[in-house]
Amino acid sequence: MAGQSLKWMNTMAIRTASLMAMIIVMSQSASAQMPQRGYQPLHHMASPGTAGLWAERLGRACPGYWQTIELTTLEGGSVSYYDEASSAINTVSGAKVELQVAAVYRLKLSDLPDYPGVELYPTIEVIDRLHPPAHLKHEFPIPIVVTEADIEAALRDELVTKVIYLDQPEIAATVAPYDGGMRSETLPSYRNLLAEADERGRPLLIFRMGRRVPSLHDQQRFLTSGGPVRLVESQDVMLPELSQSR
Amino acid sequence: MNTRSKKNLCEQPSALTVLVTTTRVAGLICIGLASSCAGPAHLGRVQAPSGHLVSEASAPQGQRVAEVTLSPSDQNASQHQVGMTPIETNTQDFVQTNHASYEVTSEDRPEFILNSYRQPATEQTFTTPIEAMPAQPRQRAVVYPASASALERMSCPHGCPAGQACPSCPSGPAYPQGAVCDGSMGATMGGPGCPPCAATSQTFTDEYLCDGGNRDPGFYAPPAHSSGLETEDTLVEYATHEGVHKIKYSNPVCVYAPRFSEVRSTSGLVQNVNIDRPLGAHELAFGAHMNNRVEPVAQEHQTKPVGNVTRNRASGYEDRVGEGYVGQIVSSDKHVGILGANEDYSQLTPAQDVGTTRALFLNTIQAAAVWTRDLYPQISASVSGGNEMTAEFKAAGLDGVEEKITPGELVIIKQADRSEAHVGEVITFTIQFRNTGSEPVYNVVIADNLTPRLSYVEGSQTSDVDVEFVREDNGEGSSVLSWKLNSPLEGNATGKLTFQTLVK
Repeated sequence: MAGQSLKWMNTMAIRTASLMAMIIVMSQSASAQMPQRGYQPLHHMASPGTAGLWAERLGRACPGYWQTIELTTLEGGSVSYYDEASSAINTVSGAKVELQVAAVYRLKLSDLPDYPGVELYPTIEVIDRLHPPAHLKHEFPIPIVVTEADIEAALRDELVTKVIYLDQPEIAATVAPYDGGMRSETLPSYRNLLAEADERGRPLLIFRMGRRVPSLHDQQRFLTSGGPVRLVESQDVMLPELSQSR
Repeated sequence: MNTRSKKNLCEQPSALTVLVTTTRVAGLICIGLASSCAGPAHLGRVQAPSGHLVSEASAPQGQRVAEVTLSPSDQNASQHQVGMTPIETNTQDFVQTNHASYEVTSEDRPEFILNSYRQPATEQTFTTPIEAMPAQPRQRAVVYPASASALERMSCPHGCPAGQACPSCPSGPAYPQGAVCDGSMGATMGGPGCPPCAATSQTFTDEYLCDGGNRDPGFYAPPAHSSGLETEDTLVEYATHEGVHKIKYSNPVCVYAPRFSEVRSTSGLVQNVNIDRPLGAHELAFGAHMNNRVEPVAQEHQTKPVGNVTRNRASGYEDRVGEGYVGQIVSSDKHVGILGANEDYSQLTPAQDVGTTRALFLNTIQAAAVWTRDLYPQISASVSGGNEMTAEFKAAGLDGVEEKITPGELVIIKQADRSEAHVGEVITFTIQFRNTGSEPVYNVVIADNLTPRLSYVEGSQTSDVDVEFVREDNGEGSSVLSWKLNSPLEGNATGKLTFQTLVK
């Protein structure tokens, strides 16, 4: 009996070891097949300012750091940036401004050539910064390109959300960018754009644009941004004479 | 020694020791990042990973020079320090202090680039007139340690209040020398004076476009275009006159060229979705449900007796075989059929068999009893000591001539003509190599696996030596460029290759 018991124990031990080895192998193969998706706690549909708050807490940028932004509408037109005092810095498409990280800014797109009378009020939320050499600070702004499709979607009462990210060089897609100079990828609305951008590179900025316009009783709050705005003085585009208005 | 320690004009961390060769180069030499130095004929920079090396040079006569100083760590300097032997040519100054051979193996290759800058005996100085401007160095990302406090994380490496002189930091982008802060950076970092550079300064390689060096250290198996040559890697492989195969990586060259992309989505209002739903529901009810009801495939599933037949067949078979009857019956049939039962049975009578065997055993037992009683085994042993003879030969003297040759040793340097680039612009790379030994090297192949964002401009490569140029697809959207020298490279001989790439 003792011998049989010992044999049975050995058999069970071998079976247990085999089962554990099989589980380990299967788990490893399963993990190898799983895509390398990191956990992204943020979502682009979260309230504007949430990602910026996280960026501030994580120390993505020094307090008070000015990040250069360049917004271009392929249709042309005027671009106004509202600061924390609801003052607007009026520029044109392609002008460079400096914004601060972690703040949400309100803009106004107007004088669009093919859309007379249309005014759009998108927001910009800067969630990270670049680290260029000092003399290149304004040479490499974070670009935002507003296409005709974006404007059309906004006029259909749709919310257009864009996450601008920095390509990871080693995994950068090698397709040629389109004429606007930046590669754009449209994803279904249920996908988390921040997670998608995080997989492709480093998210820098969230751009949201709908058709909402300020109401009369809410205009002051609506046109107030979370931080100051600074216009880059020397740039290629011709700025309007009156660069600041109320 | 033609070397002397020189404190560079940029404030540098104390961990860096700069050895500057004073050959014909006189001028500004500093260690630091990109634009941290300002001076006459300010040319460019080359830096090793992790900030081990940055060299920047200019010549007072307006002659453009680039200098690369391989400054090792001090840990084992005393073991290998070798005096410098300047070797001058008409157009190039080249100083090589040591020909430390580095055999590339699968184990030590991962640290090759770093070791090449850290090797204590390797102090190499190129002073070569060039046309290209060295580009930004590549820096490895430094990850914040887990113990870094919140204050360190929030420290602004380069911030300072308005009016204060800009500080320079060990790494990361720095202000030009003598610049004054405009107060935009770090103005809120507290108090007068510039805040100290953060100990955990961070560099961001994703903003740079790097090529050269050894990006992903790992096993490398020559030839160069085979496995192991990762994108961005630039190396030279050759064989010495003794037949030793060697591989040397170039320095990495990084150009500030961030590229942006976007992901977008549009989402409509919920009210619109509710209004449109009836149409979609109608289509679903009309098509999919009807098809499911009359789907002939479903009927086949219900009348699937084939599966039952299969199970029955398997179980019946297992029952019969498991009992073991079948095997015995079949084997007996075979015996009857094949062997003549009568004859075989009579010959293999158990009685005869047993009787014979028992008799043999009895005889054996008796014999053994007699043997063990009378022939008692005797054991004898002897010990024989071994004698060893040792002879020691001592040389009374050694006559001969010491061979003054040094094996061939290649050094390869890569440079770019610009420090920043936008998408669509062209970068011209220059690869210079030199045999620092006195003996020739053979089978020299220089390979460059371009990073995916660089596209080779067809027909743009030039060389001042006789080479066979090959461009191959690297499978990652770019190319592997290789130059095979058609003749051995003699001692102290140099060569230069150039090619253009398009930033995409």
